[in-house]
Amino acid sequence: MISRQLKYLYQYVHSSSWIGSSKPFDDINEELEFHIAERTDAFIAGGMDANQARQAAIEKFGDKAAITRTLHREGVAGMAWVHRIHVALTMTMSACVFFLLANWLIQKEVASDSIHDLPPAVASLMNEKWTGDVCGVVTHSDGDAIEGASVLMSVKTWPGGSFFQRAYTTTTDASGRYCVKDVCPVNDVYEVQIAVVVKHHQMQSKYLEMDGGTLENVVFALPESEVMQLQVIDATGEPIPGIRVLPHGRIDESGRHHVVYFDSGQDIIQSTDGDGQTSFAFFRPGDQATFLIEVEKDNWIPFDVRVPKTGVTAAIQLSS
Amino acid sequence: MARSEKANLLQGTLDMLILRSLQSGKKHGYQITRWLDTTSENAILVEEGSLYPALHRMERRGWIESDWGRSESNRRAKFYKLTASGRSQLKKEITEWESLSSAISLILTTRGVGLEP
Repeated sequence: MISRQLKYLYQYVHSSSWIGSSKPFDDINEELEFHIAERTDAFIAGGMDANQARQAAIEKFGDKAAITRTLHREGVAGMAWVHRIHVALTMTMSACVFFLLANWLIQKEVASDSIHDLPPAVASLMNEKWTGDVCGVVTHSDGDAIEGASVLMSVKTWPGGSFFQRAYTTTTDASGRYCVKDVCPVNDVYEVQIAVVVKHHQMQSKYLEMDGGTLENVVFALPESEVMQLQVIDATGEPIPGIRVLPHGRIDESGRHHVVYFDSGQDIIQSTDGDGQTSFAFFRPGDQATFLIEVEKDNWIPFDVRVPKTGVTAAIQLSS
Repeated sequence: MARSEKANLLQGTLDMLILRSLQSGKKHGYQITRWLDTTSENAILVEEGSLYPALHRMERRGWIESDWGRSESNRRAKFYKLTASGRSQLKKEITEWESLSSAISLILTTRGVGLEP
């Protein structure tokens, strides 16, 4: 049984005996035509002339076309199962090839769109594995967690020799924990500036230089602060209402600098009231505070102020 | 019904005769008809319309196999030969034929009187 099926398979492969092929017809026709030719020779040998012999052989043979059709139909039917398997396998393999080719083209297109068609610096930036996280904890100086502290972060990178700086902001959860995920290139150098701002606590920042990897636990312990009253006045001493002020930094009693980057500090900008005043609860009396003031549209100028005792208003006077 | 049974009998007989013709060696279709004509002293006429479908059917069943060669007249011809399976089939068909033929002979030569209704 198996050998017969294998023989069908062999015949199918070697005789191209499948639907639509002319080869089976050719073989059958040649075989039947041979029979007629041999019969014709016999009739000629019996005394007929060639034409008569040929005609007589054809008549004796019968309906050659009908016999041919029968042989072909039955031959194809005998290999129908092979043909069905052949078609099914061909279709399956075609579908697989089509799927793989389409998938490859899509991948290639996506890669081309996202990286290769971009400027080299941006392509290098996007090609980097940005899977590094910056995480940590913010507490009171006594170690208790601070919830809702603003964490302002800038990440500096140099992909492909170009410089990129991106800003992120987040807030701490109930356990004082913060985490900004997938912001650092784990296989390249980067630098992170983190400032933590929370009312009634002294603003702090850290600057970290990294050679790849991630920052799992950057800790801030914030001492309490006083409320600093600030007034912005013009050259004549008149208060300037509605002017925007960004608490940009402070130098603490130990001489350490703490900075809020402009691009990450947009959420803590305040505007002066009708008396040209505003207040900030991020400083300690005696600190040297730096404020960025928007003297004109998109023109921010830094001003240094010594933080006075509580209850005393510090003033910044803008020149004309 | 009677017509169908006759057709089956004839078909089975034709297969047996073709297999028998190939027992002495490979032959092409025309040689098979000539062999049957000669051997039966022209008593058996095998039409080509039956011969070739029978040859192709038996080849698919594995009783015979074919290959192309040259005839005595140097024409390209398809030759058939018996396979081991075909030899077994021939033996089986001859046995069945002899059994049937004996039974028919027995019936035809019986001198008994038919049963009265």
